[in-house]
Amino acid sequence: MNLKQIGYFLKQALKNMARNKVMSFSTILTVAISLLIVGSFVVFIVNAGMFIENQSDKTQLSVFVDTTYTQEQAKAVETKLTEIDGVDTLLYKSKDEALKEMIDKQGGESGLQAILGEENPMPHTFIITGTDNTKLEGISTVAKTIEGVYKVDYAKDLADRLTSIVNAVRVGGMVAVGILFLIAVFLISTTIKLALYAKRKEIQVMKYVGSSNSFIRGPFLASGMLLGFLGAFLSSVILFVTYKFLMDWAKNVEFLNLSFQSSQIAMIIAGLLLSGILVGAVGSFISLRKYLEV
Amino acid sequence: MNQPAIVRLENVTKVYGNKTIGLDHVSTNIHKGEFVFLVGASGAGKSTFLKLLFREEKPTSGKLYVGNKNISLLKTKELNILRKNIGVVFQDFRLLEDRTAYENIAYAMEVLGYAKKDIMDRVPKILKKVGMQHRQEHYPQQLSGGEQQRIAIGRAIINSPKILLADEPSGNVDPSTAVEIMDIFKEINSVGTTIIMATHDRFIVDQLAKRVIELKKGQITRDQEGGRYTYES
Ligand SMILES: Nc1ncnc2c1ncn2[C@@H]1O[C@H](COP(=O)(O)OP(=O)(O)OP(=O)(O)O)[C@@H](O)[C@H]1O
Ligand SMILES: [Mg+2]
Repeated sequence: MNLKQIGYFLKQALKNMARNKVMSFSTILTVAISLLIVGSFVVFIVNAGMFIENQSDKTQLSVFVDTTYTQEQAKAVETKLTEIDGVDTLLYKSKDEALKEMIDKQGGESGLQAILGEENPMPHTFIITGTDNTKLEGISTVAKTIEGVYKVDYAKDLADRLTSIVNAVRVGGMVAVGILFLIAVFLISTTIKLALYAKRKEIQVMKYVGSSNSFIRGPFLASGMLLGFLGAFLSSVILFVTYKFLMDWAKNVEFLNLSFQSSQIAMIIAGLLLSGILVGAVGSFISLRKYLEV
Repeated sequence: MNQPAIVRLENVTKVYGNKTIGLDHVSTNIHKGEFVFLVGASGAGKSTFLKLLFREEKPTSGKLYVGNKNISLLKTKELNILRKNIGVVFQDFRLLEDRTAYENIAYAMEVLGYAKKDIMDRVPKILKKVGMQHRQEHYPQQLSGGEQQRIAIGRAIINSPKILLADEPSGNVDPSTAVEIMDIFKEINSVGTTIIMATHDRFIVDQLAKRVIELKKGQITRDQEGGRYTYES
């Protein structure tokens, strides 16, 4: 097989497509939608994974003291906290500081202060770092037993909960991806079947003059691969635009800690394009096997 | 003839799926450059004989050699080579309706992977040979039966086959057109192409006085050099 032949196959493939525009267009669209869902799923899994990793990396623990506690009472809690094994540093944030931080975050002189008046609902808070990550869980357990500790926030808890959600999505998603691929393969094979039917007379002539099998099959294989590729291309464009838009937004949401990563999206798009071509090849191969006895 | 036969049948029998007998223990040799008429009543097995030669059908038993190869045993690649060397003219022409006369002939070269230049070189020559150069831009529906027949012949010989099979090529045309078409076949035969033709055309067979193989219920009942359509005194 040489370049000239591949050129010929592609030309025939384009003619096949032009001959059956509606069917070709709906196939491309269906492949595009399927692959778009597949791509979005992959983007979600990858970014959720990164987010979880970010969370697990945080070596901090926030200990909130009962809101009714005074500053002196809080100091007593602090002493007990410093005694816990594995505590490295301990940062104290008073009720007032916590409130000020809160109001600042809301944009300075907002209505919040007016509503609260003299009330301060914020607790005294200690931010603890462990000597290493593995210590955090132990610190969290002990800190919860100290009198006056009202709540311990621990990033890993959140990470663990997220992980189980992501795992569930992953399993469900795999099944969905499998089904979507099957649909795409089925559609392409149907389109190729119709193309084979439309060209049955040409195929007959080809057989009588002794065309090689690859020459008879080539244009149909090329048709399928082209349909798959075009569908994948369409889905890639939509995915890229959406991804760019979402990441521009996520960049400004601090806790998400996610940003546009060109290598990541490039890999996913490359994967989609390859999948599209593969789906097309498999789809046309099935019809060629079934309907083109040589 | 001392030359090895280009086509050799040894006890070839063809029984179709529904138990109908197409050919019944047929043995014969056909040599390079011969012009052979297959005659016989409808259903005698003429088309079956031709179909076996380019392996549209396989023999049920017996051996069939084309150019020293037992064609029942051919692999796909060898089958393609066989078919490149055998041109076929079908009774119903089998032209592609959405292609012009020129394109129909060019197609047979195109799908064998010939270069555009070779195609543009050869197709006009073939059109001229079958006397259709003035109608090359016409589609099959715009052509008469005889004209379509010429295009079908042109397509069958475009790759210079060694053997040309024709199934009732004068079946659908008036007598004078039939004579013109036979002239094309005679010319093709004159350069050494073996021609095997099934026909009901008494006039043509008698006029050309070539070898005649008569079939009856799948068996050869007569094989005669310079024969006539019917066997009579
Ligand atoms: N595909 C087929 N399936 C079953 N029987 C067939 C098939 N083709 C031909 N036959 C039968 O085989 C026998 C020989 O047919 P064949 O077509 O060879 O005859 P023929 O001599 O070409 O006849 P005609 O002059 O009418 O074209 C006939 O009885 C026919 O019905
Ligand atoms: Mg017949």
